[in-house]
Amino acid sequence: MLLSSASPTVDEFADATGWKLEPQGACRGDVCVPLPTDAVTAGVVGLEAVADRLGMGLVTDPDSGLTAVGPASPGGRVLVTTEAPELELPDFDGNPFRLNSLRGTKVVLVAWAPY
Amino acid sequence: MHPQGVEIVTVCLETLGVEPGRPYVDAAQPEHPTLVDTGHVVDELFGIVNIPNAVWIDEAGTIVRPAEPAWPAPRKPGGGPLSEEAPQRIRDIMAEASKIKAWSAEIYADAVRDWAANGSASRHVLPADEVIARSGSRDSFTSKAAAHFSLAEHFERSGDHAKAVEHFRDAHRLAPDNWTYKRQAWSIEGDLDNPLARFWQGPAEGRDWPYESDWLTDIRAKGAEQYYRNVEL
Repeated sequence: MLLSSASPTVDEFADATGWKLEPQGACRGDVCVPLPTDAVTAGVVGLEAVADRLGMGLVTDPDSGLTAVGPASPGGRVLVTTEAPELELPDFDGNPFRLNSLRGTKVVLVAWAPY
Repeated sequence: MHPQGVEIVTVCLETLGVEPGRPYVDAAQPEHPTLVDTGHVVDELFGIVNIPNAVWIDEAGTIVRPAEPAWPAPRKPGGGPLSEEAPQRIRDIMAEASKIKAWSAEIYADAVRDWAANGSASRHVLPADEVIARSGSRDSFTSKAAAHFSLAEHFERSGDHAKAVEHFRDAHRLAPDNWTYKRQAWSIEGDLDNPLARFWQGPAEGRDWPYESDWLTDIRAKGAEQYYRNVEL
Protein backbone atom coordinates (compact mmCIF):
# COMPACT_ATOMS: atom_id res chain seq x y z
CA MET A 1 0.00 0.00 0.00
CA LEU A 2 1.11 3.54 -0.76
CA LEU A 3 2.02 5.77 2.14
CA SER A 4 1.22 9.44 2.19
CA SER A 5 4.71 10.15 3.40
CA ALA A 6 8.04 8.43 3.96
CA SER A 7 7.71 9.63 7.56
CA PRO A 8 4.10 8.77 8.39
CA THR A 9 2.45 9.55 11.65
CA VAL A 10 1.26 6.72 13.84
CA ASP A 11 -2.31 7.29 12.66
CA GLU A 12 -1.33 7.41 8.99
CA PHE A 13 0.60 4.18 9.39
CA ALA A 14 -2.34 2.50 11.08
CA ASP A 15 -4.76 3.69 8.41
CA ALA A 16 -2.52 2.37 5.63
CA THR A 17 -1.45 -0.93 7.13
CA GLY A 18 -3.95 -1.88 9.84
CA TRP A 19 -1.13 -2.10 12.40
CA LYS A 20 -1.51 0.15 15.43
CA LEU A 21 1.67 1.23 17.16
CA GLU A 22 0.99 0.83 20.86
CA PRO A 23 3.31 1.01 23.87
CA GLN A 24 3.62 -2.79 23.80
CA GLY A 25 4.50 -2.87 20.09
CA ALA A 26 2.81 -3.04 16.71
CA CYS A 27 -0.58 -4.65 17.21
CA ARG A 28 -3.26 -6.09 14.98
CA GLY A 29 -6.11 -8.05 16.49
CA ASP A 30 -4.68 -10.03 19.36
CA VAL A 31 -1.18 -10.11 17.87
CA CYS A 32 1.47 -7.65 19.06
CA VAL A 33 5.04 -7.49 17.74
CA PRO A 34 7.56 -5.75 20.03
CA LEU A 35 9.31 -2.75 18.49
CA PRO A 36 12.61 -1.03 19.25
CA THR A 37 12.33 1.91 21.61
CA ASP A 38 13.07 4.41 18.87
CA ALA A 39 10.41 3.06 16.50
CA VAL A 40 8.23 6.13 17.06
CA THR A 41 9.56 9.62 17.71
CA ALA A 42 7.15 12.45 18.50
CA GLY A 43 4.32 10.56 16.82
CA VAL A 44 6.31 9.91 13.64
CA VAL A 45 7.04 6.33 12.62
CA GLY A 46 10.61 5.23 11.99
CA LEU A 47 9.56 3.43 8.87
CA GLU A 48 12.64 1.32 8.20
CA ALA A 49 12.83 -0.01 11.74
CA VAL A 50 9.12 -0.79 11.96
CA ALA A 51 8.92 -2.32 8.49
CA ASP A 52 11.94 -4.47 9.23
CA ARG A 53 10.48 -5.75 12.51
CA LEU A 54 7.12 -6.52 10.90
CA GLY A 55 8.66 -8.14 7.82
CA MET A 56 7.12 -5.50 5.58
CA GLY A 57 8.72 -4.90 2.21
CA LEU A 58 9.56 -1.21 1.90
CA VAL A 59 10.05 0.38 -1.52
CA THR A 60 10.69 3.99 -2.43
CA ASP A 61 10.49 4.87 -6.09
CA PRO A 62 13.73 6.71 -6.80
CA ASP A 63 12.28 9.17 -9.30
CA SER A 64 9.05 10.19 -7.64
CA GLY A 65 10.03 9.64 -4.01
CA LEU A 66 6.77 7.75 -3.48
CA THR A 67 6.94 5.10 -0.76
CA ALA A 68 4.98 1.88 -0.47
CA VAL A 69 5.02 -0.93 2.04
CA GLY A 70 3.90 -4.49 1.59
CA PRO A 71 1.89 -6.47 4.12
CA ALA A 72 3.44 -7.65 7.37
CA SER A 73 4.82 -11.17 7.59
CA PRO A 74 5.77 -11.67 11.23
CA GLY A 75 4.75 -15.32 11.31
CA GLY A 76 5.76 -16.23 7.78
CA ARG A 77 2.11 -16.75 6.82
CA VAL A 78 -0.38 -14.42 5.12
CA LEU A 79 -2.73 -14.43 8.10
CA VAL A 80 -1.48 -13.63 11.58
CA THR A 81 -4.96 -13.96 13.06
CA THR A 82 -8.26 -15.46 11.95
CA GLU A 83 -10.06 -12.22 12.76
CA ALA A 84 -11.28 -10.91 9.41
CA PRO A 85 -9.60 -7.60 8.61
CA GLU A 86 -11.44 -4.36 8.10
CA LEU A 87 -12.32 -3.99 4.43
CA GLU A 88 -14.16 -1.18 2.72
CA LEU A 89 -14.53 -1.13 -1.05
CA PRO A 90 -16.96 0.53 -3.47
CA ASP A 91 -19.59 -1.40 -5.33
CA PHE A 92 -20.10 -1.00 -9.07
CA ASP A 93 -22.25 2.08 -8.47
CA GLY A 94 -19.58 3.72 -6.36
CA ASN A 95 -21.29 3.18 -3.02
CA PRO A 96 -18.93 2.26 -0.18
CA PHE A 97 -19.46 -1.17 1.35
CA ARG A 98 -17.94 -2.36 4.60
CA LEU A 99 -17.38 -6.06 5.02
CA ASN A 100 -18.05 -5.91 8.75
CA SER A 101 -21.60 -4.68 7.99
CA LEU A 102 -22.32 -8.38 7.43
CA ARG A 103 -21.46 -9.43 10.98
CA GLY A 104 -24.02 -11.99 12.06
CA THR A 105 -24.06 -13.56 8.61
CA LYS A 106 -21.81 -16.15 7.04
CA VAL A 107 -19.86 -14.60 4.16
CA VAL A 108 -18.19 -16.16 1.15
CA LEU A 109 -15.88 -13.48 -0.23
CA VAL A 110 -15.14 -14.31 -3.86
CA ALA A 111 -12.34 -12.65 -5.83
CA TRP A 112 -12.55 -12.59 -9.62
CA ALA A 113 -11.18 -10.53 -12.50
CA PRO A 114 -12.11 -9.75 -16.12
CA TYR A 115 -8.77 -10.92 -17.52
CA MET B 1 -27.46 -18.89 -0.62
CA HIS B 2 -28.95 -15.83 1.05
CA PRO B 3 -32.04 -17.64 2.43
CA GLN B 4 -29.70 -20.20 3.99
CA GLY B 5 -27.81 -17.48 5.84
CA VAL B 6 -24.80 -17.16 3.57
CA GLU B 7 -24.03 -13.90 1.80
CA ILE B 8 -21.88 -14.02 -1.31
CA VAL B 9 -19.71 -10.94 -1.77
CA THR B 10 -17.81 -10.69 -5.03
CA VAL B 11 -14.74 -8.52 -5.48
CA CYS B 12 -13.45 -7.63 -8.92
CA LEU B 13 -9.66 -7.19 -8.83
CA GLU B 14 -9.01 -4.58 -11.50
CA THR B 15 -6.43 -1.81 -11.54
CA LEU B 16 -8.18 -0.13 -14.47
CA GLY B 17 -11.34 0.60 -12.47
CA VAL B 18 -14.98 -0.33 -12.77
CA GLU B 19 -15.61 -0.45 -16.50
CA PRO B 20 -13.75 -3.63 -17.52
CA GLY B 21 -15.81 -5.69 -15.09
CA ARG B 22 -19.13 -4.01 -15.74
CA PRO B 23 -20.24 -6.14 -18.73
CA TYR B 24 -19.84 -9.28 -16.62
CA VAL B 25 -21.80 -7.79 -13.74
CA ASP B 26 -24.51 -6.47 -16.05
CA ALA B 27 -24.83 -9.93 -17.60
CA ALA B 28 -24.98 -11.72 -14.25
CA GLN B 29 -27.38 -9.26 -12.56
CA PRO B 30 -26.19 -10.33 -9.10
CA GLU B 31 -28.34 -9.75 -6.03
CA HIS B 32 -25.37 -9.89 -3.67
CA PRO B 33 -22.82 -7.13 -2.92
CA THR B 34 -20.59 -6.70 -5.97
CA LEU B 35 -17.43 -4.75 -5.19
CA VAL B 36 -14.45 -3.40 -7.10
CA ASP B 37 -10.92 -3.49 -5.75
CA THR B 38 -8.72 -1.23 -7.88
CA GLY B 39 -5.86 -1.46 -5.40
CA HIS B 40 -5.76 -5.24 -5.02
CA VAL B 41 -6.28 -4.70 -1.30
CA VAL B 42 -8.00 -8.06 -1.00
CA ASP B 43 -4.91 -9.77 -2.39
CA GLU B 44 -2.81 -8.37 0.42
CA LEU B 45 -5.31 -8.89 3.21
CA PHE B 46 -6.20 -12.47 2.34
CA GLY B 47 -3.25 -13.69 0.28
CA ILE B 48 -5.05 -14.15 -3.02
CA VAL B 49 -2.57 -15.06 -5.77
CA ASN B 50 -4.93 -16.28 -8.48
CA ILE B 51 -8.60 -16.00 -9.32
CA PRO B 52 -11.23 -17.22 -8.75
CA ASN B 53 -10.54 -17.54 -5.04
CA ALA B 54 -12.81 -17.37 -2.00
CA VAL B 55 -12.58 -16.86 1.75
CA TRP B 56 -15.16 -18.01 4.27
CA ILE B 57 -15.94 -15.69 7.19
CA ASP B 58 -18.37 -16.73 9.89
CA GLU B 59 -21.01 -14.72 11.75
CA ALA B 60 -18.49 -13.50 14.34
CA GLY B 61 -16.09 -12.20 11.70
CA THR B 62 -13.72 -15.14 12.00
CA ILE B 63 -12.06 -16.57 8.92
CA VAL B 64 -12.89 -20.27 8.84
CA ARG B 65 -11.40 -21.04 5.44
CA PRO B 66 -8.58 -18.93 3.98
CA ALA B 67 -8.20 -17.92 0.35
CA GLU B 68 -8.39 -20.92 -1.97
CA PRO B 69 -9.60 -21.70 -5.48
CA ALA B 70 -13.39 -21.60 -5.50
CA TRP B 71 -16.04 -22.50 -8.03
CA PRO B 72 -19.79 -21.88 -8.26
CA ALA B 73 -20.31 -25.15 -10.12
CA PRO B 74 -18.36 -27.95 -11.77
CA ARG B 75 -16.11 -26.48 -14.42
CA LYS B 76 -17.41 -27.13 -17.91
CA PRO B 77 -15.15 -27.95 -20.82
CA GLY B 78 -14.37 -25.07 -23.17
CA GLY B 79 -16.93 -23.93 -25.67
CA GLY B 80 -15.83 -26.28 -28.41
CA PRO B 81 -13.23 -25.85 -31.13
CA LEU B 82 -12.30 -22.32 -32.10
CA SER B 83 -12.90 -21.08 -35.59
CA GLU B 84 -10.15 -21.31 -38.16
CA GLU B 85 -9.88 -17.53 -38.05
CA ALA B 86 -8.94 -17.45 -34.37
CA PRO B 87 -5.34 -16.26 -33.88
CA GLN B 88 -2.91 -19.08 -33.19
CA ARG B 89 -2.01 -17.64 -29.79
CA ILE B 90 -5.65 -17.72 -28.68
CA ARG B 91 -5.94 -21.28 -29.93
CA ASP B 92 -2.82 -22.19 -27.93
CA ILE B 93 -4.16 -20.43 -24.84
CA MET B 94 -7.45 -22.30 -25.07
CA ALA B 95 -5.59 -25.58 -25.49
CA GLU B 96 -3.64 -24.95 -22.29
CA ALA B 97 -6.72 -23.64 -20.49
CA SER B 98 -8.54 -26.88 -21.27
CA LYS B 99 -5.88 -28.74 -19.26
CA ILE B 100 -6.29 -26.59 -16.15
CA LYS B 101 -7.54 -28.67 -13.27
CA ALA B 102 -10.18 -27.05 -11.08
CA TRP B 103 -9.45 -29.39 -8.20
CA SER B 104 -12.44 -28.81 -5.95
CA ALA B 105 -15.00 -27.66 -8.49
CA GLU B 106 -17.13 -30.80 -8.29
CA ILE B 107 -17.78 -30.41 -4.58
CA TYR B 108 -17.13 -26.77 -3.73
CA ALA B 109 -20.74 -25.57 -3.89
CA ASP B 110 -21.84 -28.56 -1.79
CA ALA B 111 -19.24 -27.60 0.80
CA VAL B 112 -20.70 -24.11 1.05
CA ARG B 113 -24.19 -25.60 1.44
CA ASP B 114 -22.91 -27.88 4.18
CA TRP B 115 -21.46 -24.87 6.01
CA ALA B 116 -24.78 -23.04 5.60
CA ALA B 117 -26.65 -25.96 7.13
CA ASN B 118 -24.25 -26.96 9.89
CA GLY B 119 -22.34 -23.81 10.77
CA SER B 120 -19.31 -24.36 12.96
CA ALA B 121 -20.08 -28.09 13.05
CA SER B 122 -19.49 -28.36 9.31
CA ARG B 123 -16.54 -30.57 8.49
CA HIS B 124 -15.37 -27.85 6.11
CA VAL B 125 -14.80 -25.34 8.92
CA LEU B 126 -11.12 -25.32 9.79
CA PRO B 127 -9.57 -24.73 13.22
CA ALA B 128 -7.74 -21.43 13.64
CA ASP B 129 -4.24 -22.86 13.39
CA GLU B 130 -5.16 -24.66 10.19
CA VAL B 131 -6.66 -21.47 8.71
CA ILE B 132 -3.41 -19.62 9.37
CA ALA B 133 -1.25 -22.50 8.17
CA ARG B 134 -3.21 -22.77 4.91
CA SER B 135 -3.26 -19.01 4.31
CA GLY B 136 -0.08 -19.20 2.27
CA SER B 137 3.49 -18.21 2.94
CA ARG B 138 4.57 -14.63 3.12
CA ASP B 139 8.11 -13.38 3.47
CA SER B 140 10.05 -10.21 2.88
CA PHE B 141 10.24 -10.96 -0.85
CA THR B 142 6.50 -11.38 -1.38
CA SER B 143 5.83 -8.39 0.86
CA LYS B 144 8.23 -6.28 -1.17
CA ALA B 145 6.51 -7.54 -4.32
CA ALA B 146 3.25 -6.17 -2.95
CA ALA B 147 4.89 -2.79 -2.36
CA HIS B 148 6.12 -2.71 -5.96
CA PHE B 149 2.68 -3.75 -7.18
CA SER B 150 1.10 -0.84 -5.29
CA LEU B 151 3.52 1.58 -6.92
CA ALA B 152 2.87 0.02 -10.33
CA GLU B 153 -0.87 0.49 -9.92
CA HIS B 154 -0.37 4.09 -8.86
CA PHE B 155 1.72 4.86 -11.93
CA GLU B 156 -0.65 3.00 -14.24
CA ARG B 157 -3.59 5.03 -13.00
CA SER B 158 -1.51 8.20 -13.24
CA GLY B 159 -0.82 7.54 -16.91
CA ASP B 160 2.85 6.65 -16.54
CA HIS B 161 2.68 3.19 -18.08
CA ALA B 162 6.45 2.82 -18.55
CA LYS B 163 7.03 3.46 -14.87
CA ALA B 164 4.22 1.07 -13.97
CA VAL B 165 5.87 -1.66 -16.02
CA GLU B 166 9.13 -1.18 -14.08
CA HIS B 167 7.34 -1.90 -10.81
CA PHE B 168 5.17 -4.68 -12.23
CA ARG B 169 8.37 -6.39 -13.38
CA ASP B 170 9.84 -6.09 -9.90
CA ALA B 171 6.66 -7.54 -8.39
CA HIS B 172 6.81 -10.48 -10.80
CA ARG B 173 10.49 -11.12 -10.04
CA LEU B 174 9.90 -11.13 -6.29
CA ALA B 175 6.66 -13.14 -6.33
CA PRO B 176 6.96 -15.44 -9.35
CA ASP B 177 4.06 -17.66 -8.23
CA ASN B 178 1.58 -14.80 -7.99
CA TRP B 179 -0.62 -15.20 -11.07
CA THR B 180 -2.79 -12.23 -10.12
CA TYR B 181 0.13 -9.83 -10.30
CA LYS B 182 1.11 -11.25 -13.66
CA ARG B 183 -2.33 -11.52 -15.20
CA GLN B 184 -3.20 -7.97 -14.18
CA ALA B 185 -0.02 -6.52 -15.67
CA TRP B 186 0.01 -8.66 -18.81
CA SER B 187 -3.66 -7.94 -19.51
CA ILE B 188 -3.15 -4.20 -19.87
CA GLU B 189 -0.57 -4.38 -22.63
CA GLY B 190 -1.61 -3.69 -26.19
CA ASP B 191 -4.80 -2.41 -27.74
CA LEU B 192 -7.40 -2.60 -25.00
CA ASP B 193 -10.19 -1.96 -27.49
CA ASN B 194 -9.50 -5.36 -29.00
CA PRO B 195 -11.86 -7.82 -27.29
CA LEU B 196 -9.07 -10.41 -27.13
CA ALA B 197 -6.50 -8.03 -25.66
CA ARG B 198 -7.18 -8.73 -21.98
CA PHE B 199 -6.67 -12.44 -22.53
CA TRP B 200 -3.81 -12.26 -25.04
CA GLN B 201 -1.27 -11.61 -22.28
CA GLY B 202 1.85 -12.02 -24.34
CA PRO B 203 3.95 -10.88 -27.27
CA ALA B 204 2.32 -9.83 -30.52
CA GLU B 205 3.74 -9.00 -33.90
CA GLY B 206 4.71 -5.36 -34.28
CA ARG B 207 4.62 -4.62 -30.58
CA ASP B 208 7.28 -4.70 -27.87
CA TRP B 209 6.61 -7.03 -24.96
CA PRO B 210 8.11 -5.56 -21.79
CA TYR B 211 7.97 -8.61 -19.53
CA GLU B 212 10.25 -11.57 -18.97
CA SER B 213 7.45 -14.05 -19.52
CA ASP B 214 3.81 -14.27 -20.54
CA TRP B 215 0.75 -16.38 -19.73
CA LEU B 216 1.35 -19.08 -22.31
CA THR B 217 5.05 -19.48 -21.53
CA ASP B 218 4.44 -19.55 -17.80
CA ILE B 219 1.64 -22.07 -17.81
CA ARG B 220 3.56 -24.37 -20.10
CA ALA B 221 6.57 -24.15 -17.80
CA LYS B 222 4.55 -24.69 -14.64
CA GLY B 223 2.09 -27.20 -16.04
CA ALA B 224 -1.59 -26.44 -16.48
CA GLU B 225 -2.59 -28.91 -13.75
CA GLN B 226 -0.62 -26.81 -11.25
CA TYR B 227 -2.31 -23.54 -12.22
CA TYR B 228 -4.63 -23.86 -9.24
CA ARG B 229 -3.37 -25.56 -6.13
CA ASN B 230 -5.11 -28.66 -4.93
CA VAL B 231 -7.27 -27.83 -1.94
CA GLU B 232 -8.51 -30.37 0.52
CA LEU B 233 -12.09 -29.56 1.36
